[in-house]
Amino acid sequence: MQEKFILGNEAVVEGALVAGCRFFSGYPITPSSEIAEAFSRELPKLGGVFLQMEDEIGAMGVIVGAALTGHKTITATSGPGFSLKQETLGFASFTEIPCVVVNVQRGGPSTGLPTMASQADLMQSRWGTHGEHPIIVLSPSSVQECFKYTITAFNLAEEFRTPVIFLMDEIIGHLREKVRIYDETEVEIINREKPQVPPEEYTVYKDGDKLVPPLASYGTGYRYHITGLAHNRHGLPSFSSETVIKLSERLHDKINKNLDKISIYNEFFMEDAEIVIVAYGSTTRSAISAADILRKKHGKKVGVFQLVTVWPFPYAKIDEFNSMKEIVVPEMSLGQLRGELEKQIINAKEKLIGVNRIDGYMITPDEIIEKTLRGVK
Amino acid sequence: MSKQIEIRIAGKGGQGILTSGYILGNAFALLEGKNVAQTQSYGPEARGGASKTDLIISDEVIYYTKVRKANYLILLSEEATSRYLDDLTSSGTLIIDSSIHFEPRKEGTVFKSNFAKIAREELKNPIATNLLMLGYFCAISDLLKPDSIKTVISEHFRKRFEEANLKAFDRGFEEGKKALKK
Amino acid sequence: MTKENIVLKYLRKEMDFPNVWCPGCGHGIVLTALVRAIAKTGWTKDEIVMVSGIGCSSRAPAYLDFHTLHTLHGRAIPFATGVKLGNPKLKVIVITGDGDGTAIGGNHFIHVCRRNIDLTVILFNNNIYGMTGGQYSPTTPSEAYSVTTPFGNIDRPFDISKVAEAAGATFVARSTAFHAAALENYIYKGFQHKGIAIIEAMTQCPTCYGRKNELKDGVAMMKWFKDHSISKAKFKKLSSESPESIDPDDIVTGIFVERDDIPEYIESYQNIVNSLLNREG
Repeated sequence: MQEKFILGNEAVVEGALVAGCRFFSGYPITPSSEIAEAFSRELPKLGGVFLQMEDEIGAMGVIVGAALTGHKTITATSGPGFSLKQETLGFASFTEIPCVVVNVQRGGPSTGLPTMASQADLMQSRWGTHGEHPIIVLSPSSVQECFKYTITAFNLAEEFRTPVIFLMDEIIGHLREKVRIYDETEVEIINREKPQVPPEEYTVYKDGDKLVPPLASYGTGYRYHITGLAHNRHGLPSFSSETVIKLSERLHDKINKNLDKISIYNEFFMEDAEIVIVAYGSTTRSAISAADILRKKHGKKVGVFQLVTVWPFPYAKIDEFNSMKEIVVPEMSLGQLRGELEKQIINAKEKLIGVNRIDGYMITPDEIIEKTLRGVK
Repeated sequence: MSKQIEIRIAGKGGQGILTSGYILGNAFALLEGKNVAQTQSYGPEARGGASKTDLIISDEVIYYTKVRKANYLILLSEEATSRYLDDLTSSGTLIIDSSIHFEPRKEGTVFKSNFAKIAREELKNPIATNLLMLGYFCAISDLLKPDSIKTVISEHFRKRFEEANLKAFDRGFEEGKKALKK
Repeated sequence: MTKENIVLKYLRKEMDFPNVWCPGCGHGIVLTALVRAIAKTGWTKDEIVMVSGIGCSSRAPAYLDFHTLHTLHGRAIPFATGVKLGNPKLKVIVITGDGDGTAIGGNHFIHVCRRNIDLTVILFNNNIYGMTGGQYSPTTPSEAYSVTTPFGNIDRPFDISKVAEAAGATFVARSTAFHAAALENYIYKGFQHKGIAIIEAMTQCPTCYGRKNELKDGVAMMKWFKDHSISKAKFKKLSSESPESIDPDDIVTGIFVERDDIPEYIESYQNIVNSLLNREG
């Protein structure tokens, strides 16, 4: 273990390297560029690959292609680039190619507020591609969590053969804090399963009843086809209803039936809480600060529920909050997170309180305190 | 240090404001064992125009990362002064370059020093203004050991500049000590 | 003596036939030339990765028993770049078309030429978007008809080989489906080339292009290729002696660029890695 004083963006790079990632491709974009810059310094020293591509779409294609050679791969971007990567993200989800895509959220829409924060890509990270497929999205609230959960992102990508989105925000990306960097012997590292059968028996999309079939690397004797078309167990195009339905079911099941491994959250002062603040990313910090003050100064029993895994959404956990008097949802958007809670909370209009900001600035503890004390009005 | 200390350093692009924030944060975090949250201005505003870095220092976990009212405000340019002077707590400490004109404050403590002039004319090393300022801050605030900052300075810059950089820091520290005696 | 059909050795047994291509389409000829060139190299199936985008030509890899990757419209080159950088020992071949490679994927096309990474790109140029039903492409000739140029094309076409050359490609060649032997030879030379190799294969689309432009079937279009192709040497000679005798629609064929004085990208990258590793240890 070694302590460093670094940016959230730099801690992502530290985490990726410990996770075993040796391949980055990206395109410059604020506020994520420090990630590319750090990879460009570090990867060549480790014999890894850094490639700045001609555009965002190209960079996404590069990391998906490289993942098929056995590499753990990553790209990093922000809103406009994240929009451009969506088609390829859908391809990687549908063809089950692991990779990590970092989106350091900035104010939008369009060019928006390039150097300022936002949390308005929450829905895009879930529904940004066309068609339907599950996705795993993690969000860190500190520089330490950037390190820790980047490793988790790679582990989940490898274990479930899926792209994982690392949904940061500008505040965390550009925040410098002390971080404890552990080496690969001190943390859990998961590598994708390789085929156990000889090449002639291998099928890229089926291995018995396994929800996650092993993925052979190109050049290891296992030849197969990958296509973005609907495909059968060999990866060859097939449009039969049975094949299409089975494939979609397995894609959803491999995530939804493993929520115990995928769904990560943190709780603060929740033991006796009557009011809960639900938050993710940098907003979690203001929430904890606000809860502390609400308890000490105002005698309110306030707890904080931090979503680390924002997708798949923890509906079962949220359901428990039906017993709360109030549910406060601060977010740097007009209510994307609150909208998801509305699906699970009975009488949502009488319980849910939004604290929203869209001007690029971090939500303050005072704003949360004020709305919490005012209640649903 | 019982409570959270908030520090804001602001000036203009090219004065090494961001570097000074990084060095100070590094010294507090890794050599003084404090929790630190350091942020800074980004983008076009960080080049040429106003430049700013904020630090929160605490023994406790730091949640909210933005400086609300600074306990220490260090100002090295006119523009930064007009923009940030009000962000100091009433009892806070202002450290400001002597060349800057500003409305006198009713409360708190004010320290004025010729950072830019000393660096330029005496040390013949104008880009070391920020290190001079750090030395001065270190002496005035007494929040951390000068050696902590000096260790970071030695690690951060190229070896051939080490001596000149440490000299600038020491000169600032000396000025700070002198100011305290007044 | 019965000649062995080399292509059969490379077909994927799980794939359903017949293939997706129309009767009279030139893609099968280009694919055959490609496979025959591969057979000449002595590469094993396990070391070949064939990457394609979207369109008629991009369906080709699925029929072949290599590592095959059918990607997104316009994106074959980035995916292939990732594969090659991920494992430089692999022989990476890109299959693309005029729409896939020079319209939606045009940015990647020019940059891969500039980057000079060791890939072989076979661009099937049939002057039309076939898979979507015959809309005009960046290489549809001016005044030609298509389903989206019902009054004649007012766009000017790309000369893809010239684009590749201007963008810095270190091997550029063009032939046609009629000149299959020459095409096979150029593809083979492209494989031998260290760096980016662009082979433009002119191929006919009787269904979407020919019928709209007074070339009623595949045979008529093949004949057109025969009559309107002109070798690089002959073109040069005519250009100086009797430029008026050159038909502007003629297809110039041959190897246009073949140079080995530009460093290959992965080698340059590896040089940096090696110098850093030496410094460390």
